[in-house]
Amino acid sequence: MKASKIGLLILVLGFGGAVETAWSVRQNIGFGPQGCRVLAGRFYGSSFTFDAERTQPVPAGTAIEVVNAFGGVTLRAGDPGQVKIALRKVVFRPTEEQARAFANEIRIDATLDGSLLRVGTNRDELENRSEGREVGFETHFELTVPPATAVTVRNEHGRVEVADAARADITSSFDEVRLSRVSGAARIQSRHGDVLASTVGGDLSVVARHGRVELQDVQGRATVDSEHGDVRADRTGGIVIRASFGEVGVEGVRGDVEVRSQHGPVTARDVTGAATIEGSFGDARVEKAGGDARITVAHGAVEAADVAGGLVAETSFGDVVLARVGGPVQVKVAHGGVNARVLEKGAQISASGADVVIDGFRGEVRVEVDRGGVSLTPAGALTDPVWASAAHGAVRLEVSAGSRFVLDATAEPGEVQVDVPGLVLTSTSAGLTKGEIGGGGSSVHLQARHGDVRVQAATTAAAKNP
Amino acid sequence: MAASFSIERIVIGFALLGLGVLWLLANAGRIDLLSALRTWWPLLLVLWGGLELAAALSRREARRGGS
Repeated sequence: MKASKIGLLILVLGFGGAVETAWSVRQNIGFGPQGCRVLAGRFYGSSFTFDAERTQPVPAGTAIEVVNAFGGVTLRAGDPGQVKIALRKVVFRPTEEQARAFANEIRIDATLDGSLLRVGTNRDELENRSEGREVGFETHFELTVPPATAVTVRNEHGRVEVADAARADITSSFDEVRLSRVSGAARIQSRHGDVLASTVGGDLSVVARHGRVELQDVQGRATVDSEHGDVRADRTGGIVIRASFGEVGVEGVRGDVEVRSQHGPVTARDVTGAATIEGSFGDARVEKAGGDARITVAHGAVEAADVAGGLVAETSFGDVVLARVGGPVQVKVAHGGVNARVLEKGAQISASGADVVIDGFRGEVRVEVDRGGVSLTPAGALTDPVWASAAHGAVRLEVSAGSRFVLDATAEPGEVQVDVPGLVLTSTSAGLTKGEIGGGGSSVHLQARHGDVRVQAATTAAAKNP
Repeated sequence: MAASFSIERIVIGFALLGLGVLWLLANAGRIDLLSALRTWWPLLLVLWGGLELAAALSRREARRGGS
């Protein structure tokens, strides 16, 4: 066969494929009086609603399992000893007669199997018939169950709402899940829908994909595994969150917080225990932590304030801002600077690309900066060791009254300026100055390469920089 | 004339003719173009196949006549 014929055959088949695709799209997408219809031909056009009810006596302690699709499930506590099942059927047919005829075939299936009541519909049976495949129908359950019932719900394409249960296990997709007032443990798995859970007495586990997660008032431990959605948790026990492509925010945690996040910012506030955050491509912020804080971020800034314990922070391409840290501080920044206020137990800081400023510190401090300067202001009299080195930047130290240390300052190339009353210089040469104050004590080593070193009295600094 | 007999040209000719007529009718509001194309496009393959068969038979007859 000639190449031209092969080309023509491909052209003809391509034309046919394009026509068939256009036809299919036109058949399944449209804008009508009831809104936009996208690839859901069965659920479009006229619909009619019909109701059915059933009451099922159950022994005490019976658990409930509801299986449904294309419709919501609402479950609440009611009278003991019975389960009231209300089913709303919505049938999409052109006429009410046709819809009623189909709706009459939709029935409630409720089977008591030992201590478990299974509730559902005969949807599978109807959909296996040729007519059932063509007809769109929704089944919305409203159940009233005995108080303190353990509940399991498996639903698709419909909202799930469960309240006042003993335990809850919910699997849902393509709509929202709402859970409230559960006395025991709860477990939720959701796809393509938001999850809202509040007032859970036990542990709570949530696995969510493509939806927002909101938790409130969880007494036990909370575990969240989320992708493509924001996570918000308020007033929980200890919490572990694994998240990606969404913002994470936790507040009011009684215990430890552990967050592993990718592609989203993380904020943790009011944590009684330790806070551990590992993130990427988003800023991380910790405010008011009762224990230690450990924050590791790739491509993001770090902010921590009011941390009672120690702090370890590591980041890149972002600055670190710290305020009021009670324990030892360790910071490592690549392509970012550090701005810290009130560090109670010293710091070890390594940074590159920007300045390191510590205003108000106690304890031993060790700072190393590449392509940036260092500015150190102790909280009071300086008696602990200080080691500061800057490449391509200046080093500045303020000295308060009552300080006691031995100074060793080097600036090469650059100059060392010392302006502190009571600081006696014991050796001075080009770029190298040694001295002591208060009779000596800890070692204060200041080193600048391609920058100056300046040691000045705190009052002098205040006067020059009011 | 026999040497200039080309299946591709004939198919393209018929296709252009058919498409033009369909488009014209659609613009006149007489037919639904997409529906008509979707129904009748396989006719191109049928037409082509028929012409290929006719050409093959004509070549065989020519060889017989020559021998």
